[in-house]
Order: sequence, then C-alpha cells, then structure tokens
Amino acid sequence: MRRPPFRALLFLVLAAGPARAQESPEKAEMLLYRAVKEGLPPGRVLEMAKETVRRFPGRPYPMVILGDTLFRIRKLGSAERAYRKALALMGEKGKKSPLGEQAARSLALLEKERTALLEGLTLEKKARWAGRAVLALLAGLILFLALPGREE
Amino acid sequence: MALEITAVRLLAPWFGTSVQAWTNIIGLVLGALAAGYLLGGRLADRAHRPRPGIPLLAGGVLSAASPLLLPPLARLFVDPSLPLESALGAMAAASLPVSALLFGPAVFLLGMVPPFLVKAWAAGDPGRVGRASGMVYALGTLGALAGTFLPTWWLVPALGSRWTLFLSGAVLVLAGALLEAGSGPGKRRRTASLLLFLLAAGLMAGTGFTLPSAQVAPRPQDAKVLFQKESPYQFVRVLEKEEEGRTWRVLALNEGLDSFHSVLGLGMRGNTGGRYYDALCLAALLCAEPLQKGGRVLSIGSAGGTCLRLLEENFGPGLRLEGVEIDPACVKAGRRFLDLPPEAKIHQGVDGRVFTRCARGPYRFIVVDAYSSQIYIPFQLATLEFFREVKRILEPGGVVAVNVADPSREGLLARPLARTLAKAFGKALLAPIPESRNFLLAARKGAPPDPRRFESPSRPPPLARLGKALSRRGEWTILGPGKGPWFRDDWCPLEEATWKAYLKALEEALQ
Repeated sequence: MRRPPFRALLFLVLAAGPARAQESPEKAEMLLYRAVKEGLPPGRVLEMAKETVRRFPGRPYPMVILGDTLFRIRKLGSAERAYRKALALMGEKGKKSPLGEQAARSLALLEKERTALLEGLTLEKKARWAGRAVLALLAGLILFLALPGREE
Repeated sequence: MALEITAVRLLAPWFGTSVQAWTNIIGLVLGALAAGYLLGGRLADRAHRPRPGIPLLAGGVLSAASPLLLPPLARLFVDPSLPLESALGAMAAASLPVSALLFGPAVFLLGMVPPFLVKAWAAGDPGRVGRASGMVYALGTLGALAGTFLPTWWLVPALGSRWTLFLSGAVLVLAGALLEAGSGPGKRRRTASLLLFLLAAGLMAGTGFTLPSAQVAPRPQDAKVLFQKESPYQFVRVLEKEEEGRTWRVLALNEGLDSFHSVLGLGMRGNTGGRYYDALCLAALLCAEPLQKGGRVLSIGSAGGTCLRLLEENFGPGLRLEGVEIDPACVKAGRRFLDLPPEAKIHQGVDGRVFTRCARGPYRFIVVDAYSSQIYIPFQLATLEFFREVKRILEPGGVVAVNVADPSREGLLARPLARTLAKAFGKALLAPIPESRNFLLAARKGAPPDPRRFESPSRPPPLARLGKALSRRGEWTILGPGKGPWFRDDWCPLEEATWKAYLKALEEALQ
C-alpha cells in the first residue's frame, strides 16, 4: 500500500525541529497525534512526546502518549514502570494526581490488551500443533490402509 | 451430510462459521470417510458375512454424544475472557483438532458401512456387485440429500443442533439394529446383536437425559443470558451486563466473545456512550435536507435495530424507518430486548444486496452495517456495483454511511473501501471513530460530504461530544477514487484485506 504523503512531510518537518517552533500546546499535540496515527517509528514518537511534555507540563495527552510509547518500545519492561517514568518526566509523583490516575488507567488497559494478545497467540499455537498432529494421524492411517496388505 | 452440516452449527458458538472452520470440518469429514471406506473394504473382504449394523450402531451413539463431549474439548482452546481479536486465530485453528476428536471416529465408522453393504447385497455373486454398489451409492446420496436440507431448514431451527445430532444418531442406531436383526441365522449371533442393540439403546438413553444440561456456548463473562436461539443462520444471544455503572444489553452472534452486533444502554437515549453506532447516526447530519424534516431511512444489516433506534431518538418520530436483516431471530431479539422501534419496517430474510437491487427508494439516509463471521463485511455489500445501486436509491443530497471494523492504524481495509465508495460517488469521507477499532465511511449523492456539519447547531445534543471530536480537522479525510483497483463483484479480496488489517494491529500491539 502507498505510504501516506503526510509521513514523508512529517519527517521533513521533524528534521527542522518543529516541536520547538510550535508555540501552542494544541498545535504540538496535534503534531504528536498525527505522528502516532501515521505510524512514525516509536523512537521518534517518544522524542516528540518527551519534548511536548517538557514544554507543556500539565497536559494529559502527551503524557499518555509518552507512557504508551515507553511501554510499547519495551525500554522499561512493564506498563507500571513506564507510567512512573512518564510521571517523573512530568514532575509529578504518585498515583493520586488526576493525571497520574489517567495515565495509570491508560497503561493498565494497554497491559491488559497485550496480555490478552499473548494468551490468544499461545492458544493459537497449541491449536495449530494439535491440528497438525490430527492431519498427520489421518494421513498415516489412510496410507497404511491403502497400502497392499499381507493377504494381497 | 446431516452430521457435517450440524457439526458446523454445533461448533459455531465456540469457533464461528468462518471459511477456516467450514474448510476444517469438511476436510476432516472427507478424510475420515476415506479412511473408513478403506478399512471397511478390507474387513468386508475378510468377513464371510459382514455386519454393517455394528459400525452404524457405534457411529450413531458417538454422533449423538458429540454435544456432550464438545464443551470440555473446546475449553482447551477457547478462553471466553479474551477479546475477540485476540482469540480469532486460536478459534480458526482449533476447529480442526476439535472436530477431528469429536466427529472423526463417528464418520470413520460410518465410512466402513458402504463396503459392508455392497458385499452383503452382492451376496457372493460377482455378477451382482455393480447393482449392489449402485444401490449403495444411490441410497447414500439420497440420505445425504435429506441430511443437507432437513437440518438447515427444519431440524436445527426447530430443535437446535444438539437434538438434531441426537435424532440423526437415533436414526443410525435404529438402522443398525434393523440390519443386525436381519443379519442372518444363528442363535449366538442373534444374542450378540440383541446385546449390542441394548448397549447402544442404553447409551442413547443416557445421552438423551444428559443432553438438556449440556453447555451450548462458552459462558459469558459477568453477563446474564436473556435470550438465545439457533436460527437457520447462526446462534443468537442477548446478554445483559453491568459496565461503566450502567446496565447494557448486547446482541451477540456465534463465537462473539466480547463483540456484539447491537447494543442498548438501559435508560440511555440518543447515544450508545461513544460506540460506533453514534458515529453512523451522526453521519445523517451530512444530508442536504435535515433528517429532522422527515424522510426515508434504510439500515442494511439492521440486526437488533440499534441504528434505527438512535436515528428515531435523535431526529424525531417523523422518519420512515426501514431495515434489512437476513436473520429473523435478530429482529425478534431486537423487538423484545433492544428497543427496536415497533414502527420500523424490517425486511427479514433478505440479503442486503438483493434488497438494494429491488428497492425503489428514494432514501434520504442509508446505513450499511452488515457483518458475517464477526469481522467480515459480506463482499457483495462492499463492491463498486453495490455502491452504485445504493446511489441509485438515494435521493439527491442523500447520504450513505458505512461501518468498517478495521483495527489497523493506517486503515488497510477502510482506505480501499473508501476509494471504492468514492469511485461510485465522486468523493468519500473516511474518519476513524475515536476509542474504537472502527472507521466511518460516508458519501453524499451530488456533492462531497462536508464534515464541518458534524458540529452544526442542528446536531442532536446526545451526539454533541462525538460531533465535536469528529469535526476537527485531521480527524477525517476526504478521499477521491484514486487510481484503483476498486473492489468489484468479480474481484473483491475483502477477507484478505481484513486479515491483513487484524495482523497489522496485532503486530503494532506487540511491537
């Protein structure tokens, strides 16, 4: 499939250091949103999210993106650690702040989704092996029965 | 054939009726039959007087007992707590080993019968082998004919798949008993036959008593079953559960797990809490003539009537509501439990494409939300030819809105579909629906759709929040037809595109 032209454009804009140039938080958030939506590499999204969080502290969206991305690229191993790191980057501590709770919910959902996907994949693997075994058994039985017996 | 057809229905609540499930079951039945024919042929050659009644008795008992054996086997591969997209792959793959263990032995035994019968009817005379084998094939094929039509159109809708299998098993046991009774002289032989028949009858009686308590489908997580029915098309359930501090009713089909085809939040009017139905309803604002003034509205794939209900609640009772739903059981569930408006005229038992071709219109607003096997849009409702037919029955300035379930961020399925829609209408709107895995596609007859209307003052208050979110620049795209290829009746790799979208989403989530 053809790549969306926006992606190439976004790379160019990023190369010129746009996050600094974006003075309004809405504009910075929109840029971040587009970066996520257009499937920019997670490393690049992470840098953008960090920059936006630093420049506009107190905005939930960049923080959640930061946490999600930290978690997705597995730099921190678990959603919980990703969430703490994201909060620390924002200068907030603990789960009691509304922003902290929001981030915790978002990351818990992410963790749940990931666990479910992994469980589904494990079940699929098991089912595929069982299917292969059944097919091999059936093919073996047919072959055995089709071969000429002793009486022939 | 009865076993094969009913097997698909029996497995549907656990593994669905996807192409993979059908293929696995048909392939398994054919393989087991082949092995049975081979062994039956060998045994028939060895036996002086073959006894076809014995495999018939055993096969009958096994097929009748299969509904009892299904739940423990299926639980090895199905986890009802998983969301549908996580479990899809496992369900498709598991239909093979489960159907092999469940139906393989019975079909294998039944496959042994024809060679026995040929030998018995030829009675040692090589000159009669042709007539005997012709008779066996003819009777077998006539039986298969009855086994194809009766379960689909009468037995499963009337009795359910469990009792259909039990009945088929009972017929086989009876046939086996008759063949054994007439299998020839000899006191010892007659006593053995009688004992075998008594054993089979005892097992059948035990199965019959246990069958009503057999589990039909995976138990839903934290939900109450209000209604369930096996229709000629699928296994239909209405579930009630508590979520987000509210009671929700959902229409779930076959192996749906957490996915649903209609929804009602009790005490909620005009929206479904941001689910994709709200976005479909919001697309009515794109019409040239406001829907508040009335007009005809059509919902293709109306299921339990969520879209029709929302349209009536948001745009007033002046609308003439019509729906097309192939499965009457969904309509019945909708009327009883999901507040499907009583005045809505639902064309039941008709395919959406056939209806569109025959409909006269003109409609002001058409919603297309039809799915089969959970994630697939029926291909005949996604082609250029279909969208041209939709355009024909729309009034000038009328709008069509399509729901596309596509979890990939790039819209691997939604984009080519939007381009196909644009090819028919000139331009199409593509908007990912916030907090869902769905996209909204819309097109207007005569002019491109204007997404700024989502925030127009005439928008109904229950949809205001979503309207504001969707009207933002960057949330939507207006697409032209591009260079193609577009989905057509003779080339529509919709299932492939759907799988690609799901695999891409999986890859992204595990990145």
